[in-house]
Amino acid sequence: MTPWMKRLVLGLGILAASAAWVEPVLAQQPQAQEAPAGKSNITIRVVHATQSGRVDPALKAVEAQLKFTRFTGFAQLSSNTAQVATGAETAVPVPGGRRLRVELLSRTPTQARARVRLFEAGEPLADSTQVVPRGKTILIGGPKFDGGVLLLLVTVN
Amino acid sequence: MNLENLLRCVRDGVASADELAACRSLVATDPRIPDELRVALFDDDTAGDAAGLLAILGADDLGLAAALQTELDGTERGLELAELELDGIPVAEAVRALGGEIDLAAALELPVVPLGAALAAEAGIVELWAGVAGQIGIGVVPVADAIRAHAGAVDLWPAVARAVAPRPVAANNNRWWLSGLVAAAAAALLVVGWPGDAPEAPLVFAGAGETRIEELVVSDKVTVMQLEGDEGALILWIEDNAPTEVL
Repeated sequence: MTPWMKRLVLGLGILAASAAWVEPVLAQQPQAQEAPAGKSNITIRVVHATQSGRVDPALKAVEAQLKFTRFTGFAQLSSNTAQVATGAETAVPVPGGRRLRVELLSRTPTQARARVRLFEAGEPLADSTQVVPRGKTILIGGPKFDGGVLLLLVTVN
Repeated sequence: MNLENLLRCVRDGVASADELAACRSLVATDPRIPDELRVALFDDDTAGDAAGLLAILGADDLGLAAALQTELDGTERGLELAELELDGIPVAEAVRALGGEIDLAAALELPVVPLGAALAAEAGIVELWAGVAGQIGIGVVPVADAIRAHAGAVDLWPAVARAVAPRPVAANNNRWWLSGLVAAAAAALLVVGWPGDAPEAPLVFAGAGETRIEELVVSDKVTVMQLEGDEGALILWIEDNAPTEVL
């Protein structure tokens, strides 16, 4: 067997082994990379809803679900993902001098309990504690900005 | 009879032989006559010699004496033009006064300019390329485009392959497995993805039936409504309580 054939056979073998190992992993977590033990990935997206008629490609999949706002254009202004441990929080700036803070209170394999607070000029506008299914997104909307409104999409994995 | 009278007689051809002999005798001794003229007088042209001597002696009644005297004076002293006086002014000074310093450029009507500048002014800027292009019948062609147009694509691989000849592989190379491992790692990365390259979770809205709001505190500045989206998604909608400005 020539050296090149040895490489080919071994490479195929390792590739097959890798695929056999990777497949169950992907099956267990089809949606996102697994956060370290004891932490959850919290993703916060800030979307600007306007009457522009243009929809950000990242939001095409949920365009129909956003139509209830009566706006026709949706632009994703920012998207931040943070690995948050139980009892910790993550925060992102929101246009208009606002800030959104999400604290992970607890979690189970299927759901998470989170405190979601929206601040404006340092003062809380809304403070809610919600139990949400892990991997799904809750929506907070309404703050006015630049001829439209802001939609805050929070996902806890 | 004095010398002058004798000379007149000889000149006029009326002198006798004795008068001619007496005339010769007086000429030979008269101090007013130059010595060089005393030789060979009255041999051939006695009348002419007599007339000449009369002129020398200033006894010429024809006006030749003054002219001859002037001629003789000039011959003896030499003609010094610089010492001649014209209207009372020495000739040399007169010439210098009239001439002054000669400006050859002005005399030739050439402006006094550096030679290089004069040549440049006459020549102007030489458009060499325009001339050459005109001669060979081409316009302005960008060089880079022209080179690219003529060069086309350059296939470097054959030259590189020739330069880098394949090296023989050692038969006892015990690191052959490394290449296979690298290939497998690359394949695994292709399937799994790079560590840390966390793909965003696809957006799936939580339905109203699977979300529970345990607590809600709202500022006086806003009103929060719990809505349900077109596909059952739970939405917290925040409305500003501030009155809308009427423009």
